[in-house]
Amino acid sequence: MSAAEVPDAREDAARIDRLLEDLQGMAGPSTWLAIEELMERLLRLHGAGLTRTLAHARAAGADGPRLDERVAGDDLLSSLLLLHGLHPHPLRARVERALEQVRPALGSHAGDVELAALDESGVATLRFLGSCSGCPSSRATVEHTVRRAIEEAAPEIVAIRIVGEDAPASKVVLQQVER
Amino acid sequence: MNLRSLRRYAVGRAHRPAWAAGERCELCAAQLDAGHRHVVDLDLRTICCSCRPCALLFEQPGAGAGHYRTVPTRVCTSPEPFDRERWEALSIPVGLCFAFFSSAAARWVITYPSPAGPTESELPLEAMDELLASSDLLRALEPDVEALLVRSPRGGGPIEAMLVPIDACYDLVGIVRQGWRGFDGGDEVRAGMDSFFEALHRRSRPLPEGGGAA
Repeated sequence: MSAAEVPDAREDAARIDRLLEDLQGMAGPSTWLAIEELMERLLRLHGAGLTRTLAHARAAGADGPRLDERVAGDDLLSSLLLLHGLHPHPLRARVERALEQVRPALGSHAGDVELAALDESGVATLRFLGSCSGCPSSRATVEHTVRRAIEEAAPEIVAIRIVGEDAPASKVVLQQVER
Repeated sequence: MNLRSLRRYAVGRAHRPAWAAGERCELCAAQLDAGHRHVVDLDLRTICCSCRPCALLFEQPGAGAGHYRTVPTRVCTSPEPFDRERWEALSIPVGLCFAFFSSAAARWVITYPSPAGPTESELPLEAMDELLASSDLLRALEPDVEALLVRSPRGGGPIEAMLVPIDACYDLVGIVRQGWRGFDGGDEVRAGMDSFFEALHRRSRPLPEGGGAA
């Protein structure tokens, strides 16, 4: 299923973002704590349900690798599995795949991007290659696109470092992706 | 699809959630120590757990536009014997109850702990007036936040009456409700009540001359 087929889920996600932001400003401290507890308990319940569903699918004889491919290819399901730490693909594979998917979109900016390193603390180092590594404005567009793709495919990445082709230490950009 | 705002609520998060960190002040959400204070919400007629700063704030008369009132801590006894005749004129059917003045209802309310939780009834005002005239403890009660706790022994004997914080009364309600077995409550409830009363006696002081507000 493609992203275009789940417009309601995207709308829900955006609305949840907005409501949480608004509520934090509106609620008193004890109400806000109760809202956070409610969110956590609801998510925990749904996460447990997803875990059990996958376990049942496997136990019922579903072809493991095919099942993994299908759920990973479903935009909504993939996002939910990531949320609950249940995604079938390991972190590195997800980052690599996100870069693969974003490459054609780099299009006219040409150049290429590769995963130079991925450390245990969740910091990804990307290396830009080719012409787009030089020009500042096209570089910014490319960086933005790549960051968004990685953030979505691998939300556990805490920071993305970007180095140029020659990888001089002085050009390292460290940006916090998530709190 | 990006569910970033939900990540902080999903399992596997690194920090311990704030709501699971133990009891919190129901007014400001600060973490509570053991033996915290309580504040009565006069509009909702509920008791809220409260941190020390909030309790101090609502000790001031009129703070919070009279919406909240901190439960005092004093426990007082009176050297005067409690007037059994006037008490019995109220025809209270049980041996254990507490009475307080409800400012929302503008009358005296009497509550009995029972296995089903607290049971309330309103007292006839005339009979209460007579009892008030005879009891310095009743006259000294702060409305809503203090109560007169009364225990009359089953086989007769002097009635025991104490001025207590209202939260202590609800502790007693909890002891009765949770421990009640069979028809008469059973040994567990009796033992629980005895140690509850012993602890109150240890805290108690004679009521100062003239009653004195808390």
